[in-house]
Amino acid sequence: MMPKGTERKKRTGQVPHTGQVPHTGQVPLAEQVPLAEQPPHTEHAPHAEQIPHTEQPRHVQQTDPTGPTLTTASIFTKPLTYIVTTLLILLLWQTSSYFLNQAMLPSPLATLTAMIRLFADGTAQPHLLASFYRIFVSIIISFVIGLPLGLLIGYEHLFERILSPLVYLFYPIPKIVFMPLIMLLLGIGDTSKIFLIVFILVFQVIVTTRDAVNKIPAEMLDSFYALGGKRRHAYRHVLLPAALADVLTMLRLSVGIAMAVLFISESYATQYGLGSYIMNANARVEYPEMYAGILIMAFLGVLFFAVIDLLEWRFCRWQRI
Amino acid sequence: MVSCRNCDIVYTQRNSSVTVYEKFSLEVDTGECLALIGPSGCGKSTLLSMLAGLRPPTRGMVQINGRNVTAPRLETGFILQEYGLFPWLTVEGNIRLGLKIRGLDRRQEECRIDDLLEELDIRATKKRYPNQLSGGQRQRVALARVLVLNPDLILMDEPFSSLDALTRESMQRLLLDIQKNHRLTTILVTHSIDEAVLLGTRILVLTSMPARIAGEISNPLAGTSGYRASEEFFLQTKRVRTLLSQQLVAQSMIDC
Repeated sequence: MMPKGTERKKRTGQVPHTGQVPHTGQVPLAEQVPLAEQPPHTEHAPHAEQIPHTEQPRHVQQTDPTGPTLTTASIFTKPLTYIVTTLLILLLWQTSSYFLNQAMLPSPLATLTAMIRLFADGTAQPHLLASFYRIFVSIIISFVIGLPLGLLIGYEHLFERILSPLVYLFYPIPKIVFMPLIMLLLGIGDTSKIFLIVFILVFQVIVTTRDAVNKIPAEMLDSFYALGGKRRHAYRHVLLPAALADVLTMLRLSVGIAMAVLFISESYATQYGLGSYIMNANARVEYPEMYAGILIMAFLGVLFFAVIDLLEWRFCRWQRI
Repeated sequence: MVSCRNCDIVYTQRNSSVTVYEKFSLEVDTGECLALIGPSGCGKSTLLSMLAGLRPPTRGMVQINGRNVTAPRLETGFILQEYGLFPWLTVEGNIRLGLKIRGLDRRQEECRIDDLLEELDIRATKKRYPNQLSGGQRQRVALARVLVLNPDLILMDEPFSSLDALTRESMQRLLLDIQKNHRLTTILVTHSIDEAVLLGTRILVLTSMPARIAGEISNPLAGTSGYRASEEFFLQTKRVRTLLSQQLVAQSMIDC
Protein backbone atom coordinates (compact mmCIF):
# COMPACT_ATOMS: atom_id res chain seq x y z
CA MET A 1 0.00 0.00 0.00
CA MET A 2 1.40 3.35 -1.02
CA PRO A 3 1.70 5.96 1.72
CA LYS A 4 -0.66 8.82 1.06
CA GLY A 5 2.03 11.38 1.63
CA THR A 6 4.08 10.31 -1.37
CA GLU A 7 1.13 10.78 -3.70
CA ARG A 8 0.05 14.07 -2.30
CA LYS A 9 0.82 17.21 -4.22
CA LYS A 10 3.90 19.02 -3.04
CA ARG A 11 3.48 21.72 -0.52
CA THR A 12 5.94 24.23 0.70
CA GLY A 13 4.72 24.14 4.26
CA GLN A 14 7.13 25.90 6.52
CA VAL A 15 7.42 25.95 10.23
CA PRO A 16 5.24 28.64 11.71
CA HIS A 17 7.14 31.14 13.76
CA THR A 18 6.07 33.69 16.24
CA GLY A 19 8.52 36.47 15.77
CA GLN A 20 11.90 37.58 14.59
CA VAL A 21 14.81 37.85 16.93
CA PRO A 22 17.67 40.17 16.05
CA HIS A 23 20.61 38.28 14.65
CA THR A 24 23.96 38.39 16.28
CA GLY A 25 24.98 34.78 15.73
CA GLN A 26 28.06 33.78 13.81
CA VAL A 27 27.82 33.16 10.10
CA PRO A 28 30.11 30.33 8.97
CA LEU A 29 33.28 31.75 7.53
CA ALA A 30 32.80 29.96 4.23
CA GLU A 31 29.54 31.85 3.65
CA GLN A 32 31.21 35.18 4.22
CA VAL A 33 33.97 34.77 1.69
CA PRO A 34 33.03 35.83 -1.81
CA LEU A 35 34.15 33.74 -4.73
CA ALA A 36 36.42 35.07 -7.40
CA GLU A 37 34.76 37.48 -9.78
CA GLN A 38 32.87 36.00 -12.69
CA PRO A 39 33.02 36.79 -16.39
CA PRO A 40 30.56 39.57 -17.26
CA HIS A 41 28.17 37.43 -19.32
CA THR A 42 27.29 34.82 -16.72
CA GLU A 43 23.96 34.65 -14.95
CA HIS A 44 25.13 36.02 -11.64
CA ALA A 45 27.91 38.47 -11.51
CA PRO A 46 27.70 40.11 -8.11
CA HIS A 47 30.44 42.48 -7.11
CA ALA A 48 31.23 40.16 -4.32
CA GLU A 49 34.33 41.91 -3.15
CA GLN A 50 32.35 45.10 -2.49
CA ILE A 51 29.48 43.55 -0.62
CA PRO A 52 30.05 42.54 2.98
CA HIS A 53 28.19 39.29 3.28
CA THR A 54 26.11 39.03 6.40
CA GLU A 55 23.46 36.48 5.66
CA GLN A 56 20.82 36.62 8.33
CA PRO A 57 19.64 33.45 9.96
CA ARG A 58 15.92 33.87 10.34
CA HIS A 59 15.63 33.22 14.03
CA VAL A 60 18.75 33.26 16.06
CA GLN A 61 18.63 34.02 19.70
CA GLN A 62 20.65 36.85 21.07
CA THR A 63 21.82 35.37 24.29
CA ASP A 64 22.87 31.79 23.84
CA PRO A 65 24.37 30.77 20.55
CA THR A 66 24.19 27.07 21.32
CA GLY A 67 20.66 26.63 22.57
CA PRO A 68 17.17 27.87 21.84
CA THR A 69 15.52 30.65 23.77
CA LEU A 70 11.94 29.85 24.55
CA THR A 71 9.19 32.40 24.54
CA THR A 72 5.90 31.26 25.91
CA ALA A 73 2.96 32.92 27.55
CA SER A 74 2.22 30.01 29.87
CA ILE A 75 1.50 30.31 33.55
CA PHE A 76 5.01 29.00 34.26
CA THR A 77 6.95 31.60 32.35
CA LYS A 78 4.82 34.66 33.05
CA PRO A 79 3.38 34.07 36.54
CA LEU A 80 3.21 37.80 37.29
CA THR A 81 0.83 38.38 34.38
CA TYR A 82 -1.45 35.66 35.68
CA ILE A 83 -1.33 36.97 39.27
CA VAL A 84 -2.26 40.48 38.12
CA THR A 85 -5.10 39.13 35.94
CA THR A 86 -6.43 37.06 38.87
CA LEU A 87 -6.32 40.11 41.16
CA LEU A 88 -8.24 42.15 38.58
CA ILE A 89 -10.93 39.46 38.31
CA LEU A 90 -11.21 39.34 42.10
CA LEU A 91 -11.49 43.14 42.21
CA LEU A 92 -14.26 43.10 39.60
CA TRP A 93 -16.01 40.32 41.50
CA GLN A 94 -15.70 42.16 44.82
CA THR A 95 -17.02 45.39 43.29
CA SER A 96 -19.97 43.62 41.64
CA SER A 97 -20.79 41.78 44.84
CA TYR A 98 -20.61 45.00 46.87
CA PHE A 99 -22.91 46.99 44.56
CA LEU A 100 -25.32 44.15 43.82
CA ASN A 101 -25.53 43.27 47.50
CA GLN A 102 -27.43 40.04 46.90
CA ALA A 103 -26.97 36.60 48.46
CA MET A 104 -26.63 35.03 45.00
CA LEU A 105 -23.32 36.84 44.46
CA PRO A 106 -21.20 36.45 47.59
CA SER A 107 -17.90 38.27 47.92
CA PRO A 108 -14.63 36.57 46.93
CA LEU A 109 -13.64 36.52 50.57
CA ALA A 110 -16.82 34.71 51.60
CA THR A 111 -16.31 32.24 48.76
CA LEU A 112 -12.66 31.60 49.63
CA THR A 113 -13.62 31.15 53.29
CA ALA A 114 -16.26 28.62 52.26
CA MET A 115 -13.74 26.84 50.03
CA ILE A 116 -11.17 26.58 52.82
CA ARG A 117 -13.87 25.26 55.14
CA LEU A 118 -14.92 22.67 52.53
CA PHE A 119 -11.35 21.41 52.25
CA ALA A 120 -10.78 21.59 56.00
CA ASP A 121 -13.79 19.44 56.87
CA GLY A 122 -13.05 17.04 53.99
CA THR A 123 -16.21 17.82 52.02
CA ALA A 124 -14.50 19.04 48.84
CA GLN A 125 -11.92 16.28 48.36
CA PRO A 126 -14.20 13.39 47.30
CA HIS A 127 -16.02 15.64 44.84
CA LEU A 128 -12.77 17.01 43.42
CA LEU A 129 -11.17 13.57 43.15
CA ALA A 130 -14.26 12.06 41.49
CA SER A 131 -14.35 14.83 38.86
CA PHE A 132 -10.59 14.74 38.33
CA TYR A 133 -10.67 10.98 37.87
CA ARG A 134 -13.50 11.12 35.32
CA ILE A 135 -11.90 13.85 33.21
CA PHE A 136 -8.39 12.41 33.40
CA VAL A 137 -9.48 8.90 32.44
CA SER A 138 -11.74 10.26 29.67
CA ILE A 139 -8.93 12.31 28.13
CA ILE A 140 -6.48 9.42 28.30
CA ILE A 141 -8.96 6.97 26.71
CA SER A 142 -9.87 9.52 24.02
CA PHE A 143 -6.21 9.88 23.11
CA VAL A 144 -5.39 6.22 23.28
CA ILE A 145 -8.22 5.54 20.81
CA GLY A 146 -8.25 8.77 18.79
CA LEU A 147 -4.56 9.43 18.18
CA PRO A 148 -3.69 6.14 16.45
CA LEU A 149 -6.96 6.21 14.51
CA GLY A 150 -6.31 9.80 13.38
CA LEU A 151 -2.79 8.86 12.26
CA LEU A 152 -4.07 5.81 10.39
CA ILE A 153 -6.94 7.67 8.70
CA GLY A 154 -4.59 10.49 7.78
CA TYR A 155 -1.91 8.24 6.31
CA GLU A 156 -3.42 4.96 5.14
CA HIS A 157 -5.85 4.93 2.24
CA LEU A 158 -7.58 1.81 3.49
CA PHE A 159 -8.39 3.30 6.89
CA GLU A 160 -9.40 6.56 5.29
CA ARG A 161 -11.85 4.81 2.96
CA ILE A 162 -13.40 2.74 5.74
CA LEU A 163 -13.45 5.16 8.65
CA SER A 164 -13.72 8.61 7.11
CA PRO A 165 -17.45 8.33 6.28
CA LEU A 166 -18.11 7.13 9.83
CA VAL A 167 -16.21 10.07 11.33
CA TYR A 168 -17.85 12.48 8.90
CA LEU A 169 -21.32 11.33 9.90
CA PHE A 170 -20.72 11.16 13.65
CA TYR A 171 -18.57 14.25 14.17
CA PRO A 172 -21.28 16.93 13.73
CA ILE A 173 -23.91 15.14 15.86
CA PRO A 174 -24.30 16.82 19.28
CA LYS A 175 -23.46 13.71 21.26
CA ILE A 176 -24.68 15.12 24.55
CA VAL A 177 -28.21 14.25 23.38
CA PHE A 178 -27.27 10.59 23.87
CA MET A 179 -26.76 11.17 27.61
CA PRO A 180 -30.13 9.72 28.72
CA LEU A 181 -29.61 6.67 26.52
CA ILE A 182 -26.04 6.17 27.75
CA MET A 183 -27.22 6.41 31.37
CA LEU A 184 -29.91 3.85 30.67
CA LEU A 185 -27.44 1.47 29.08
CA LEU A 186 -24.39 2.00 31.30
CA GLY A 187 -25.98 3.13 34.56
CA ILE A 188 -25.40 6.28 36.54
CA GLY A 189 -21.89 5.50 37.75
CA ASP A 190 -18.51 6.56 36.41
CA THR A 191 -18.75 4.41 33.29
CA SER A 192 -21.58 6.36 31.69
CA LYS A 193 -19.94 9.72 32.44
CA ILE A 194 -16.56 8.65 31.12
CA PHE A 195 -18.18 7.07 28.07
CA LEU A 196 -20.06 10.28 27.28
CA ILE A 197 -16.94 12.45 27.50
CA VAL A 198 -14.91 9.96 25.44
CA PHE A 199 -17.72 9.78 22.88
CA ILE A 200 -17.48 13.56 22.43
CA LEU A 201 -13.69 13.95 22.61
CA VAL A 202 -12.56 10.99 20.56
CA PHE A 203 -13.97 12.38 17.31
CA GLN A 204 -12.20 15.67 17.89
CA VAL A 205 -8.91 13.87 18.49
CA ILE A 206 -9.39 11.79 15.34
CA VAL A 207 -10.28 14.74 13.11
CA THR A 208 -7.50 16.99 14.44
CA THR A 209 -4.86 14.28 14.12
CA ARG A 210 -6.02 13.30 10.64
CA ASP A 211 -5.95 16.93 9.47
CA ALA A 212 -2.53 17.46 11.01
CA VAL A 213 -1.18 14.41 9.16
CA ASN A 214 -2.69 15.67 5.92
CA LYS A 215 -0.81 18.94 6.37
CA ILE A 216 2.61 17.26 6.44
CA PRO A 217 4.47 18.28 3.27
CA ALA A 218 5.15 15.40 0.88
CA GLU A 219 8.83 16.47 0.76
CA MET A 220 9.18 15.73 4.45
CA LEU A 221 8.02 12.17 4.00
CA ASP A 222 10.18 11.74 0.89
CA SER A 223 13.12 13.01 2.87
CA PHE A 224 12.38 10.52 5.63
CA TYR A 225 12.07 7.53 3.31
CA ALA A 226 15.22 8.59 1.46
CA LEU A 227 17.07 8.37 4.79
CA GLY A 228 16.15 4.72 4.94
CA GLY A 229 13.02 5.05 7.07
CA LYS A 230 10.46 2.30 6.90
CA ARG A 231 6.73 2.75 6.98
CA ARG A 232 6.49 1.72 10.63
CA HIS A 233 9.17 4.27 11.54
CA ALA A 234 7.25 7.12 9.89
CA TYR A 235 4.57 7.08 12.60
CA ARG A 236 7.05 7.68 15.37
CA HIS A 237 9.57 9.89 13.62
CA VAL A 238 7.41 12.02 11.31
CA LEU A 239 3.64 11.71 11.67
CA LEU A 240 3.37 11.92 15.45
CA PRO A 241 5.86 14.76 16.04
CA ALA A 242 4.43 16.72 13.10
CA ALA A 243 0.87 16.30 14.39
CA LEU A 244 1.63 16.76 18.08
CA ALA A 245 1.44 20.56 18.15
CA ASP A 246 -2.05 20.57 16.63
CA VAL A 247 -3.12 17.72 18.87
CA LEU A 248 -2.02 19.57 22.02
CA THR A 249 -3.87 22.70 20.89
CA MET A 250 -6.93 20.56 20.40
CA LEU A 251 -6.38 19.01 23.84
CA ARG A 252 -6.60 22.49 25.32
CA LEU A 253 -10.02 22.97 23.71
CA SER A 254 -11.03 19.47 24.70
CA VAL A 255 -10.42 20.12 28.39
CA GLY A 256 -13.00 22.91 28.33
CA ILE A 257 -15.50 20.71 26.51
CA ALA A 258 -14.79 17.75 28.77
CA MET A 259 -15.42 19.84 31.88
CA ALA A 260 -18.67 21.22 30.49
CA VAL A 261 -19.88 17.71 29.62
CA LEU A 262 -18.76 16.45 33.01
CA PHE A 263 -20.71 19.17 34.78
CA ILE A 264 -23.88 18.27 32.89
CA SER A 265 -23.46 14.53 33.40
CA GLU A 266 -22.67 14.96 37.11
CA SER A 267 -25.76 17.07 37.59
CA TYR A 268 -27.92 13.95 37.33
CA ALA A 269 -28.15 11.28 40.01
CA THR A 270 -24.58 11.60 41.15
CA GLN A 271 -23.32 11.33 44.70
CA TYR A 272 -19.75 12.60 44.20
CA GLY A 273 -18.51 15.10 41.67
CA LEU A 274 -18.14 18.86 41.45
CA GLY A 275 -21.14 19.17 39.12
CA SER A 276 -23.30 17.41 41.61
CA TYR A 277 -21.90 19.47 44.51
CA ILE A 278 -22.53 22.79 42.72
CA MET A 279 -26.11 21.86 41.80
CA ASN A 280 -26.86 20.62 45.31
CA ALA A 281 -25.40 23.78 46.89
CA ASN A 282 -27.57 25.81 44.52
CA ALA A 283 -30.64 23.82 45.55
CA ARG A 284 -29.76 24.39 49.23
CA VAL A 285 -29.33 28.11 48.52
CA GLU A 286 -25.78 27.90 49.91
CA TYR A 287 -24.30 30.37 47.50
CA PRO A 288 -20.78 30.75 48.98
CA GLU A 289 -20.48 26.92 48.85
CA MET A 290 -21.82 26.89 45.28
CA TYR A 291 -19.24 29.49 44.19
CA ALA A 292 -16.56 27.57 46.04
CA GLY A 293 -17.51 24.52 43.94
CA ILE A 294 -17.31 26.64 40.77
CA LEU A 295 -13.89 27.91 41.83
CA ILE A 296 -12.61 24.40 42.49
CA MET A 297 -13.83 23.36 39.06
CA ALA A 298 -12.05 26.37 37.56
CA PHE A 299 -8.84 25.41 39.37
CA LEU A 300 -9.20 21.92 37.98
CA GLY A 301 -9.42 23.39 34.47
CA VAL A 302 -6.36 25.57 35.08
CA LEU A 303 -4.48 22.54 36.39
CA PHE A 304 -5.18 20.65 33.15
CA PHE A 305 -4.15 23.68 31.10
CA ALA A 306 -0.89 23.87 33.05
CA VAL A 307 -0.20 20.20 32.35
CA ILE A 308 -0.81 20.81 28.63
CA ASP A 309 1.57 23.80 28.79
CA LEU A 310 4.21 21.52 30.25
CA LEU A 311 3.63 18.93 27.53
CA GLU A 312 3.90 21.63 24.85
CA TRP A 313 7.05 23.02 26.43
CA ARG A 314 8.57 19.57 26.48
CA PHE A 315 7.54 18.23 23.09
CA CYS A 316 6.86 21.28 20.87
CA ARG A 317 9.60 23.71 21.87
CA TRP A 318 10.62 24.09 18.23
CA GLN A 319 7.32 25.86 17.58
CA ARG A 320 7.97 28.52 20.16
CA ILE A 321 11.30 29.65 18.82
CA MET B 1 27.17 2.94 -11.85
CA VAL B 2 23.72 4.55 -12.22
CA SER B 3 21.74 3.23 -15.12
CA CYS B 4 18.22 3.94 -16.18
CA ARG B 5 16.98 2.00 -19.20
CA ASN B 6 13.86 2.60 -21.28
CA CYS B 7 12.03 4.08 -18.35
CA ASP B 8 8.49 5.39 -18.62
CA ILE B 9 6.92 7.46 -15.91
CA VAL B 10 3.20 7.99 -16.36
CA TYR B 11 1.00 9.70 -13.80
CA THR B 12 -2.63 8.71 -13.95
CA GLN B 13 -5.22 11.00 -12.43
CA ARG B 14 -8.83 9.87 -12.72
CA ASN B 15 -9.52 9.93 -16.47
CA SER B 16 -6.30 11.51 -17.70
CA SER B 17 -2.69 10.44 -17.72
CA VAL B 18 0.50 12.45 -18.03
CA THR B 19 3.61 10.91 -19.55
CA VAL B 20 6.60 12.49 -17.86
CA TYR B 21 9.22 10.18 -19.38
CA GLU B 22 8.96 7.81 -22.30
CA LYS B 23 11.72 5.29 -23.01
CA PHE B 24 14.17 7.43 -21.13
CA SER B 25 17.70 6.11 -20.69
CA LEU B 26 20.59 7.48 -18.73
CA GLU B 27 24.02 6.29 -17.61
CA VAL B 28 26.13 7.93 -14.93
CA ASP B 29 29.66 6.79 -14.14
CA THR B 30 31.12 6.42 -10.68
CA GLY B 31 32.58 9.67 -9.39
CA GLU B 32 30.86 11.71 -12.07
CA CYS B 33 28.88 14.85 -11.31
CA LEU B 34 25.96 14.98 -13.70
CA ALA B 35 24.05 18.25 -13.95
CA LEU B 36 20.49 18.07 -15.24
CA ILE B 37 18.95 21.22 -16.63
CA GLY B 38 15.73 21.75 -18.52
CA PRO B 39 12.55 23.79 -18.81
CA SER B 40 10.40 24.18 -15.69
CA GLY B 41 8.07 21.26 -15.13
CA CYS B 42 9.90 18.91 -17.47
CA GLY B 43 10.22 16.27 -14.76
CA LYS B 44 13.74 16.76 -13.44
CA SER B 45 12.65 16.26 -9.83
CA THR B 46 10.59 13.23 -10.83
CA LEU B 47 13.70 11.70 -12.37
CA LEU B 48 15.60 12.17 -9.10
CA SER B 49 12.74 10.62 -7.13
CA MET B 50 12.87 7.64 -9.47
CA LEU B 51 16.62 7.25 -9.05
CA ALA B 52 16.17 7.58 -5.27
CA GLY B 53 13.72 4.68 -5.35
CA LEU B 54 10.84 6.82 -4.11
CA ARG B 55 8.77 6.58 -7.31
CA PRO B 56 9.42 3.44 -9.30
CA PRO B 57 9.14 3.81 -13.10
CA THR B 58 5.89 2.72 -14.73
CA ARG B 59 8.00 0.69 -17.17
CA GLY B 60 11.71 0.13 -17.50
CA MET B 61 14.48 -0.48 -15.04
CA VAL B 62 16.71 1.58 -12.77
CA GLN B 63 19.95 0.01 -11.62
CA ILE B 64 22.67 1.27 -9.35
CA ASN B 65 25.89 -0.74 -9.16
CA GLY B 66 24.14 -3.52 -11.05
CA ARG B 67 21.26 -3.84 -8.62
CA ASN B 68 17.67 -2.97 -9.43
CA VAL B 69 16.31 -0.01 -7.51
CA THR B 70 12.75 -0.61 -6.38
CA ALA B 71 12.89 1.11 -2.99
CA PRO B 72 15.10 3.78 -1.38
CA ARG B 73 18.67 2.53 -1.31
CA LEU B 74 20.70 2.95 1.87
CA GLU B 75 23.78 4.23 0.00
CA THR B 76 21.88 6.95 -1.86
CA GLY B 77 21.60 10.38 -0.29
CA PHE B 78 18.76 12.58 -1.47
CA ILE B 79 18.72 16.31 -0.75
CA LEU B 80 15.46 17.98 -1.59
CA GLN B 81 14.86 21.51 -2.74
CA GLU B 82 13.54 22.62 0.64
CA TYR B 83 16.16 20.47 2.39
CA GLY B 84 13.55 18.19 4.01
CA LEU B 85 14.78 18.91 7.52
CA PHE B 86 12.49 17.98 10.39
CA PRO B 87 11.58 21.17 12.26
CA TRP B 88 11.01 19.38 15.58
CA LEU B 89 14.55 18.02 15.68
CA THR B 90 17.67 20.01 16.43
CA VAL B 91 20.53 20.08 13.95
CA GLU B 92 22.11 17.19 15.82
CA GLY B 93 18.79 15.30 15.91
CA ASN B 94 18.32 15.76 12.18
CA ILE B 95 21.80 14.48 11.42
CA ARG B 96 21.36 11.56 13.80
CA LEU B 97 17.94 10.48 12.55
CA GLY B 98 19.20 8.45 9.58
CA LEU B 99 21.57 6.55 11.89
CA LYS B 100 18.81 6.01 14.41
CA ILE B 101 16.34 4.47 11.99
CA ARG B 102 19.09 2.24 10.63
CA GLY B 103 20.02 1.13 14.13
CA LEU B 104 23.49 2.68 13.87
CA ASP B 105 23.15 5.38 16.50
CA ARG B 106 26.06 4.26 18.63
CA ARG B 107 28.91 5.91 20.46
CA GLN B 108 31.33 5.46 17.55
CA GLU B 109 29.08 7.61 15.39
CA GLU B 110 29.54 10.55 17.77
CA CYS B 111 32.98 11.35 16.38
CA ARG B 112 31.70 11.11 12.82
CA ILE B 113 28.89 13.56 13.54
CA ASP B 114 31.31 15.95 15.24
CA ASP B 115 33.75 15.70 12.31
CA LEU B 116 30.99 16.48 9.84
CA LEU B 117 29.75 19.41 11.91
CA GLU B 118 33.32 20.69 11.85
CA GLU B 119 33.83 20.02 8.14
CA LEU B 120 30.61 21.80 7.21
CA ASP B 121 31.20 24.62 9.69
CA ILE B 122 27.94 24.15 11.60
CA ARG B 123 29.25 23.08 14.99
CA ALA B 124 27.83 26.21 16.64
CA THR B 125 24.34 25.33 15.42
CA LYS B 126 24.33 21.80 16.87
CA LYS B 127 21.56 22.47 19.39
CA ARG B 128 19.51 24.80 17.23
CA TYR B 129 16.32 24.00 15.39
CA PRO B 130 16.05 24.36 11.59
CA ASN B 131 13.87 27.48 11.83
CA GLN B 132 16.72 29.20 13.67
CA LEU B 133 19.12 28.66 10.78
CA SER B 134 19.90 30.59 7.64
CA GLY B 135 19.30 29.00 4.23
CA GLY B 136 22.99 28.20 3.86
CA GLN B 137 23.16 26.59 7.29
CA ARG B 138 20.10 24.48 6.54
CA GLN B 139 21.69 23.31 3.34
CA ARG B 140 24.82 22.33 5.25
CA VAL B 141 22.72 20.39 7.76
CA ALA B 142 20.96 18.60 4.90
CA LEU B 143 24.38 17.70 3.48
CA ALA B 144 25.64 16.52 6.87
CA ARG B 145 22.55 14.39 7.37
CA VAL B 146 23.25 12.61 4.11
CA LEU B 147 27.04 12.38 4.48
CA VAL B 148 26.86 10.81 7.93
CA LEU B 149 25.31 7.76 6.27
CA ASN B 150 28.36 7.22 4.03
CA PRO B 151 26.57 7.44 0.67
CA ASP B 152 28.17 6.61 -2.66
CA LEU B 153 25.58 8.59 -4.63
CA ILE B 154 24.06 11.96 -3.86
CA LEU B 155 20.96 13.26 -5.61
CA MET B 156 20.37 16.97 -5.24
CA ASP B 157 17.19 18.70 -6.33
CA GLU B 158 17.87 22.39 -6.93
CA PRO B 159 19.79 22.48 -3.69
CA PHE B 160 20.92 26.09 -3.82
CA SER B 161 17.93 27.69 -5.53
CA SER B 162 16.62 29.51 -2.48
CA LEU B 163 19.99 30.88 -1.40
CA ASP B 164 21.32 34.34 -2.08
CA ALA B 165 24.11 34.64 -4.66
CA LEU B 166 27.04 34.68 -2.26
CA THR B 167 25.80 31.86 -0.08
CA ARG B 168 25.10 29.85 -3.19
CA GLU B 169 28.68 30.34 -4.36
CA SER B 170 30.09 29.27 -1.03
CA MET B 171 27.82 26.21 -1.02
CA GLN B 172 28.88 25.31 -4.56
CA ARG B 173 32.50 25.46 -3.47
CA LEU B 174 31.68 23.35 -0.42
CA LEU B 175 29.96 20.77 -2.61
CA LEU B 176 33.03 20.53 -4.83
CA ASP B 177 35.22 19.97 -1.75
CA ILE B 178 32.85 17.32 -0.41
CA GLN B 179 32.72 15.51 -3.74
CA LYS B 180 36.49 15.43 -3.79
CA ASN B 181 36.88 14.38 -0.14
CA HIS B 182 34.14 11.75 -0.10
CA ARG B 183 34.56 10.53 -3.72
CA LEU B 184 30.87 10.82 -4.45
CA THR B 185 28.84 10.33 -7.58
CA THR B 186 26.48 13.28 -7.81
CA ILE B 187 23.37 13.96 -9.84
CA LEU B 188 22.31 17.54 -9.56
CA VAL B 189 19.12 19.13 -10.83
CA THR B 190 19.40 22.86 -11.29
CA HIS B 191 17.79 25.80 -13.00
CA SER B 192 21.01 27.76 -13.06
CA ILE B 193 23.19 27.47 -16.18
CA ASP B 194 26.20 28.77 -14.24
CA GLU B 195 25.72 26.16 -11.54
CA ALA B 196 25.37 23.35 -14.06
CA VAL B 197 28.59 24.39 -15.80
CA LEU B 198 30.48 25.03 -12.59
CA LEU B 199 29.60 21.70 -10.96
CA GLY B 200 28.68 19.20 -13.65
CA THR B 201 31.42 17.20 -15.32
CA ARG B 202 28.64 16.32 -17.75
CA ILE B 203 25.58 18.43 -18.44
CA LEU B 204 22.32 17.03 -19.76
CA VAL B 205 19.74 19.40 -21.21
CA LEU B 206 16.23 17.93 -21.10
CA THR B 207 13.26 18.70 -23.31
CA SER B 208 9.74 19.45 -22.09
CA MET B 209 7.40 16.59 -21.21
CA PRO B 210 7.67 13.83 -22.13
CA ALA B 211 11.26 14.63 -21.36
CA ARG B 212 14.09 13.45 -23.56
CA ILE B 213 17.76 14.33 -23.62
CA ALA B 214 18.01 17.33 -25.92
CA GLY B 215 21.75 17.59 -25.66
CA GLU B 216 24.72 16.43 -23.70
CA ILE B 217 27.76 18.57 -22.99
CA SER B 218 30.98 17.17 -21.67
CA ASN B 219 32.48 19.52 -19.13
CA PRO B 220 35.72 17.97 -17.83
CA LEU B 221 37.01 21.21 -16.33
CA ALA B 222 34.10 21.47 -13.88
CA GLY B 223 35.27 21.97 -10.34
CA THR B 224 38.81 22.92 -11.27
CA SER B 225 40.43 25.93 -9.72
CA GLY B 226 39.75 29.24 -11.45
CA TYR B 227 37.26 27.64 -13.86
CA ARG B 228 34.48 30.14 -13.14
CA ALA B 229 36.64 33.02 -14.32
CA SER B 230 37.88 31.27 -17.45
CA GLU B 231 36.95 31.74 -21.09
CA GLU B 232 36.02 28.05 -21.34
CA PHE B 233 33.41 28.50 -18.58
CA PHE B 234 31.82 31.31 -20.55
CA LEU B 235 31.77 29.23 -23.74
CA GLN B 236 30.20 26.28 -21.95
CA THR B 237 27.45 28.43 -20.42
CA LYS B 238 26.79 29.77 -23.92
CA ARG B 239 26.44 26.21 -25.27
CA VAL B 240 24.04 25.23 -22.51
CA ARG B 241 22.07 28.44 -22.91
CA THR B 242 21.70 27.85 -26.66
CA LEU B 243 20.45 24.30 -26.14
CA LEU B 244 18.07 25.41 -23.43
CA SER B 245 16.75 28.32 -25.50
CA GLN B 246 15.99 25.93 -28.35
CA GLN B 247 13.91 23.87 -25.94
CA LEU B 248 12.03 26.90 -24.70
CA VAL B 249 11.31 28.01 -28.27
CA ALA B 250 10.12 24.51 -29.16
CA GLN B 251 7.93 24.49 -26.04
CA SER B 252 6.38 27.88 -26.83
CA MET B 253 5.58 26.68 -30.40
CA ILE B 254 3.83 23.61 -28.98
CA ASP B 255 1.90 25.81 -26.54
CA CYS B 256 0.75 28.06 -29.41
